[in-house]
Amino acid sequence: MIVSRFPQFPHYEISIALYEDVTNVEELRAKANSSLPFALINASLVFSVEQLYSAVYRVLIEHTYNKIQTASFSSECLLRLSASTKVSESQKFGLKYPSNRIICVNIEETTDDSIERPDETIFELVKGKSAVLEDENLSKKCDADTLRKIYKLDQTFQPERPDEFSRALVNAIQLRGL
Amino acid sequence: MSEDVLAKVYEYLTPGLPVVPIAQGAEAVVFTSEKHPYLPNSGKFILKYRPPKRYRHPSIDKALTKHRTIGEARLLTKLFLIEGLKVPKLIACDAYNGYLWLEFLGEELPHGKGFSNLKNFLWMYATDDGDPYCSIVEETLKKVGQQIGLLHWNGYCHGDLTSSNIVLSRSGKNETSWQPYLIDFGLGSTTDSVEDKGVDLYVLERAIISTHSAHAEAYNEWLLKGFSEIYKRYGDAGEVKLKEVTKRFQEVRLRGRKRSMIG
Ligand SMILES: Nc1ncnc2c1ncn2[C@@H]1O[C@H](COP(=O)(O)O)[C@@H](O)[C@H]1O
Repeated sequence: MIVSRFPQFPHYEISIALYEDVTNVEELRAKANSSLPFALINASLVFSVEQLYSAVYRVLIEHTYNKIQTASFSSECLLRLSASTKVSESQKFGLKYPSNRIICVNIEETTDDSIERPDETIFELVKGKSAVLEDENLSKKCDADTLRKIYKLDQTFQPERPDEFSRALVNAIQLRGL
Repeated sequence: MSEDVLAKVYEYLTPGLPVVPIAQGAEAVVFTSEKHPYLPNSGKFILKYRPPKRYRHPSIDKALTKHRTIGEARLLTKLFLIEGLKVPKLIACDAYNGYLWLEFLGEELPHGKGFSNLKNFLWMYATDDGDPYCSIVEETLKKVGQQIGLLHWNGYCHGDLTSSNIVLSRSGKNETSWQPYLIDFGLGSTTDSVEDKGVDLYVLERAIISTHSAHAEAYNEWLLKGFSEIYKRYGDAGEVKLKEVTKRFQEVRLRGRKRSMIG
């Protein structure tokens, strides 16, 4: 689990963890809409750490300036990851499709701005193996074809390096809905 | 730089994200930051802010700021998709508030010759015991021409193509090879207008003549050489379009001369 804060938003603690071989996806899916305070993201649609954080940054920007569109931080995370303005489209990043690799994102407003120690219990409902959240791990198992469709990347765009593919995703996320 | 603009930016960023103002244009203030807005990376990053204009009606002003911020961001994302074209990477965009985060490009030139934009680069070779006609200068200017060629061929114009809006970055560890990047697309547009392309070329030519007059002829020739190379990749169709643009470039130049004789 990675716990961090963005320099511009010292009062929000962001916890992110990647789990593999998750065995209770059905249970999580059933709870995802109502009773879970954190976002469950299909990890095969996350290509890079940068893609994920660039969406979370937009969540906090929109939240702080009162343009948050969905009911909670968790649904807003999915929405900001999505390249479409439709909430239904953004569900693709959730557990709509079966995947046993899941990324959990929790955004918590805090009164102080110090980094607390990771609270390993917040995601304890997820029954899986905790894995290292890093680019190599993500891109290797990522479903690039589906991502291309979601972010409407033309087949003529054939980046030579992974960071160029990631850059195209960040571009789509930052311009989404504008 | 106005104090209240700075205060506004510092309040928006909070003390956790300190920035330093480096340039003020007609429309935007540019800052550098050592912190990335959302990644733990340290380095150097650009924040471009369009402050509200008091002479405009607040709601019109808000809409315009949003429109222009999105316009510049969107242009950068489209230009990124053009193979071979080099523009700064978009990091974040808060259009409602007029903020754009961009990758920082360039570096300090050796011996205190300033920031590595094309203008300072050419100065470096024109002063002390530099050779203004050396192959590094020639290669770099051709590459600049190629960048403009790629931009124009693909149907875009820069709108403010001065030698300060071309930044050079060392390609890899090789000290003598520079990769030009085009920056500041605040006035850029998606347009196939031959006139706008002619004006882009003219503006850059004027910039070079005014700061490097003794060598301007060779420099502009190299620029056009690189520019033409891109068009010539596309056979007859490329040749036809190249003729159109260069013809218009000469017309714009002629108009410019007449204007300066009268004025
Ligand atoms: N991406 C960038 N990298 C480095 N310097 C930049 C960048 N963008 C803007 N600048 C600097 O800020 C000045 C004004 O920026 P602009 O308003 O975009 O023309 C430029 O002339 C550069 O010196």
